[in-house]
Amino acid sequence: MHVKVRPAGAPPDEWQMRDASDADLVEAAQRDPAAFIGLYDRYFPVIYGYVRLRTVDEATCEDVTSQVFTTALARIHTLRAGGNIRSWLLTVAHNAIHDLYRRREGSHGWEETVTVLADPSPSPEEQTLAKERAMELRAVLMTLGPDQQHLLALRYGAGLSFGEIAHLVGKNPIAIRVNVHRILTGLRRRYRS
Amino acid sequence: MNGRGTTKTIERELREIAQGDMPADLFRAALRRQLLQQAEKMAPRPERRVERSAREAIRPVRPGAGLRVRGGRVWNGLSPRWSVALTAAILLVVLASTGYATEPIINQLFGRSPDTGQPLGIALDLSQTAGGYTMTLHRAYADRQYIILGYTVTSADGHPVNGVQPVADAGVVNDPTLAALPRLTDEHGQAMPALGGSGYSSVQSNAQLTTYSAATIPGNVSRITLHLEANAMEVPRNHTIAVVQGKWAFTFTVPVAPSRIAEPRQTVVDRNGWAVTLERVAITPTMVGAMLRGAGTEAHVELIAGDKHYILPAPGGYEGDAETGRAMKACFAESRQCSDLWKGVAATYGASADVQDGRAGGATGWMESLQNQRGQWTLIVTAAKQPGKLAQPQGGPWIFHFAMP
Repeated sequence: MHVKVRPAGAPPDEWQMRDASDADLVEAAQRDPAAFIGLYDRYFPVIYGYVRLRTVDEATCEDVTSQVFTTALARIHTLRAGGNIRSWLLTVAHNAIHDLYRRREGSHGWEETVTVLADPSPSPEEQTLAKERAMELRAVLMTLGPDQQHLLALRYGAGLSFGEIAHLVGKNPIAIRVNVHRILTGLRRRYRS
Repeated sequence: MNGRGTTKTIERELREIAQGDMPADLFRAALRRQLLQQAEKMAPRPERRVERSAREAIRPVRPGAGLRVRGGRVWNGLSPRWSVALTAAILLVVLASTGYATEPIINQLFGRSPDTGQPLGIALDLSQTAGGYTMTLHRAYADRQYIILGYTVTSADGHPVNGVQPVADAGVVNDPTLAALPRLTDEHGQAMPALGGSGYSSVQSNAQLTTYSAATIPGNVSRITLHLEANAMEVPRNHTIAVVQGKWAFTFTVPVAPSRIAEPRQTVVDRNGWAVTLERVAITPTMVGAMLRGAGTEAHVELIAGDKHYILPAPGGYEGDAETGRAMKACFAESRQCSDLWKGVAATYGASADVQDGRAGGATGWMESLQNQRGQWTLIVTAAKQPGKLAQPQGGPWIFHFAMP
């Protein structure tokens, strides 16, 4: 697959990179940083979904997602030939969240969760039942350990299969499936209570 | 059940949360604009004309020879990115010219190894039946790094079953760690830590393997007697995990394949004063690994052995290459995955199957053992990460020359 390289002065919108392979997009972005936008368009849903399940509010989610992509853009030239861009982006996201919690002196979101749940003036959107349930589930999610959050976020946020998660974290797919099932069971107990 | 909090409901709601809504679309567009602005400020990297031959570009680098800094990090006259690209191209040429076929380890265990033309390890064919399931331990392999066991599970009437996972006992069915895998002990009762496993093979559809660390095996041992025991099986049924209790226990003796170890203990300091030490390089029939200290856990490592040049995946599978199946490992002393022998080489190999989705996952194995490669080797750390820091790998290069016995 050949990736069209941007002619001098041509706006990025003229690029046709939707059919390009990941490797071609990475190579193009390493030559011309503006081509990184093709990777952004392709992987925003994956990274945003992952981060959304690992953060308790929209502001934090957007901050972390921004950090992931700006860091990735700045460091795209360090990605090795043949490297898996999705795994790399998810690793950057995982590190960004780890850094966030570390900077917050070990908080894993629970304190924030309490604050959010106790907010006396929820926004109009949050007044709907669905929003409340989503918010509550997200809060319960934050009570899980970082590794458990990581697994659920990879599965339901980034949309990875058990096999892909196993490859990413270097474990047995069957063990991953069992882990996810167990985490969901625990989550269900907490959620119902 | 009131519809709130069923597993299915939670799965659906998690997906809905992840997908976001209208504000996410606005945010997505805003971030896109921000990235474009950031990209515009970054000058496009001009393509450099490479006039050196590929062979010349990857020749072992003598200390100080051709190594210079010119407007950024340059390795032997080529930027690291070019050197990596060339390396990848050369690797393909090497593979094509040697006709080497990558074979997942599970297929080598149940089929044959490309190195020897024979199945890996020894045949055992020991069976135990309990709770309606028969576990057959077909083969075993051991070296100083790994103990690998190949087995199948069938129903009591002999029909192959997939996705059934033997575990240590019913109490660890929901244990998220690898400690849940069947327990393997030596004749002194010393437990071998489980490292992982897989459950898909193109040679035998219901084949499974489990891998254990051999770090506790003494160096002078040529055979080892082991005891494998599972006291429960996890059986997937309708998106839940059923537990079948029983006892599947096997005692067997397996030869320990020899390994070669070089301990250069060399420390190289880069131009910024950053010191990295190459402690050890080891070769077994299943892997080539290097143990580094001071390089963090995400260093970029290349190895030149004879006329071959490889890029080593980082530990933990994050850099695992499913297509080429390279299982050569760089192990970093800072890594929590380090075991006693290596301070940890957590290999990701064998094939995998996503039981729920019904698809075969990535198949990985080792590209070649390098077991017969000796002489002067060069290991290059092209970028490293400060231990405990969250920055991307940087610095270097650190170049180590050593003799592989």
